[in-house]
Amino acid sequence: MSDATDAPATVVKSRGARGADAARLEYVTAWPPAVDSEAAAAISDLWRREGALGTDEAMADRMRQVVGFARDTHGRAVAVATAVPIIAPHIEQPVYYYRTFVAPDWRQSRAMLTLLRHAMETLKDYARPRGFPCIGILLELQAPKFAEHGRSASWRNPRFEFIGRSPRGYDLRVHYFRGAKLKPPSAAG
Amino acid sequence: MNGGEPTGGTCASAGGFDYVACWPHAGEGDRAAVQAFWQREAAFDGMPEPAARLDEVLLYARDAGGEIVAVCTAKPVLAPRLGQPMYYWRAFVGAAWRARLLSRSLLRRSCELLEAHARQNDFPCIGVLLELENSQFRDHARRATWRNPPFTYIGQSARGLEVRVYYFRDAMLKAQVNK
Repeated sequence: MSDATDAPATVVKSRGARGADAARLEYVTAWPPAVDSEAAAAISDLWRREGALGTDEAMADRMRQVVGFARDTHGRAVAVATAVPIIAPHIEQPVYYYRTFVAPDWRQSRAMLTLLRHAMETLKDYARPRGFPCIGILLELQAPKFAEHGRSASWRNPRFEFIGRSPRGYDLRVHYFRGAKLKPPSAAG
Repeated sequence: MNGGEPTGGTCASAGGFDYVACWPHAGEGDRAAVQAFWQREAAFDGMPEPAARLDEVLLYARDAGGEIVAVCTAKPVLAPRLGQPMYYWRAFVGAAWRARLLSRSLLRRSCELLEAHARQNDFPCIGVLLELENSQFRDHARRATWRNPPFTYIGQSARGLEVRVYYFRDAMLKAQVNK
C-alpha cells in the first residue's frame, strides 16, 4: 500500500526519558521504511539479544516494516516499532497494523508511548497527502500489562478506541487519522 | 398533543426547538405524548409501538407550537463484538422535519444526558452505540471519526449496517472482556 517510489522522510527527535535511568533517547522514524545499515545492525542486535524474533528470515521480514526506533546515547536500539498495511478484521478498512518491541530495561519508561506518538505522526504525514491509503492505526495489545492498565474504553492521548478482541483474544484499538474517510467496500477489500 | 401534559424534568431550547429530557424514566404525560407522535407518524409501519419502546424514551424535541417533532430512545445492550454494555441509541424524526438536520443536535444532547446519568451510577453502560439505518449516512458523514460528538467507526452489524461508538470519558472496560 505504500508507494515505493516515494523518498522516505526520516525524522529524528530527542526526548528525555523518565524513570531511574535519566539517559536521553533519540527517536528515529521514517515511512516508507528506511533503515540504514547502522540502524539495522542495532535493531537486529536488540531483537537477537532479547529473543524477540526467532529466525534471521523473520528479522529480515520485520526489518522491512520498521517505522521507527529509539536508541540510547551509546547507539543501542532499545525500542523498535513496525507497521504493515492490512485490511483490519472487524472494520474491513485499510489501516497500519502497528507493533512495538521494547527492551526489558526500558519497559517502565515512556519509550513505548513516545515512539508510538512519533510513529503516528510519521504515518499520518505520509498518508494524508496521498489520499489516505490507510485511514488509521490498529493496535493488538499483547503485553500482559494491558490486561490491568490502560483499561479506559477510550484512550485520550493519543486517542485509541476499543473495537473488540482479536481472534487471539487480545484487545484491539484503533486510531483514525484526522480527516480520513471510510473506504467503500470495493476499495477496502 | 394527546394524552396529557408532558412531565420531562429538563427542558432546553435551541434552534427553535425545545428538548425535553425523560431519562431514565418518562412520566405518564411524556409517554402518552410520544405514543401519539409515533402513531401520527406511523413510526412502526402503522403497527402499535413495541411496549418496551416507551420505557426507552430518552428525550424528545418539540417545535414552537409544542408539537413533538422527534424522539430519541436508548436501551442497554451487550454490544456484539465489543462484549461491553452500551446504550443502543435510536431516533425517529417526523417526516416534515427530516431536512432540518435535527439528528446531530439530538445525538449530542442524548450523549450528554446518558453520560451524566452513567457517571453518577458507576457506568452501568460505558458508551453509546449507533447502528446507522438512515441511507443518508452512506453518502455523507463518511469520516472514520465524527467530531461532535466523536463517534468512531467499529465495523458493520449483522444486518450490514455501519456501527459507531462513543465511549464516555473515564469509562473503563468491564471485566468480562478481560477473561
